[in-house]
Amino acid sequence: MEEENNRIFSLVLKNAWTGAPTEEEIVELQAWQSRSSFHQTLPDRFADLDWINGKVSEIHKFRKEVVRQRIIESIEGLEATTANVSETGHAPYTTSSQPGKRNYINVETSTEYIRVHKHWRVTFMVIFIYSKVLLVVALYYYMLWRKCH
Amino acid sequence: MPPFGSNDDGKADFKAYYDMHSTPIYAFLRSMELCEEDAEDLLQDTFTKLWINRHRIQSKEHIKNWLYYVAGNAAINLLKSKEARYRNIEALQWMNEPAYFEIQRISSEWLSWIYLELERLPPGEGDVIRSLFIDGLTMHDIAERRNTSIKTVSNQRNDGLNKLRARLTKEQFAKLFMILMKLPM
Repeated sequence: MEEENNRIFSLVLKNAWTGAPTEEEIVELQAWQSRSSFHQTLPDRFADLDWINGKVSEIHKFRKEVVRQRIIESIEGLEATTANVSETGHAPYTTSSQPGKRNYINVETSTEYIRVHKHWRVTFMVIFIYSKVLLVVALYYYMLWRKCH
Repeated sequence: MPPFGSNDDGKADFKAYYDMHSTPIYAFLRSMELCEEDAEDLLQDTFTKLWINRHRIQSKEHIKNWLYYVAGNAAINLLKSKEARYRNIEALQWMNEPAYFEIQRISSEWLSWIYLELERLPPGEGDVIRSLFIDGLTMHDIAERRNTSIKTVSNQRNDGLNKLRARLTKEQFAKLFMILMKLPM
């Protein structure tokens, strides 16, 4: 897989930047491109220097050391919690940085409406329609009963 | 051989995996249309999960696939949770396709490779080549910014390319040079 990807990378660049792939290489690249519409478009992207520059600039913004530090802190926090649980037998209510303060879960919502699973919508519709049918049937038999008496 | 050594509970191996895979995974997350902050947050979560699950992973070969799998799913879940604000609903549908996933992964690895090779250049020559390639400056801009002559900048550019040639294999250098040769002269 790795070898194939490296080979295709060379072919894509050769095709895009020197314009001199052999017949055999063109066939190989076309066979790879025929795998999906996404495979089809990738070589065109790597023929666009502005696109490559833009993407490499995005990677350049990655704060590798900052994220590394955050991961270390996160792991240390997890290990401290695990150690605390094994000592006391239950999870702590407070954070080590803010003693005495309750540690709530940060929940962010994207909408003000109550959201339920999509299957519930069908279930509610069926119950609603079924209740209306029962109501009509009940009324019909009630009228029938009154007529008889 | 287990992917995480037992000497220091696998911390040295974990550091090595972060150095090796963090940049391509970040590029992969950005390619899934995530902003810088979200990509960094998910990268943090992904590597934290790797640490938690380190004893369950059987071999070094599985780590890379595992990281892409976890990061990709987390990205899709995050985009779905933001669905109301995320206008490109159609994009969310084809993000679930394996071919899309594969292409983002391949292109992220290729782009990261280009970036990391440029990053490894020494400061003087590296700055010139990075300014040309990443910042899109011209030789003239760089000379003006450094208060030096275009000839000096041109020499540094050529020295940088020579250092790349010395470090990379013929095949690797050919790949990078094909792009770098299109840089502004």
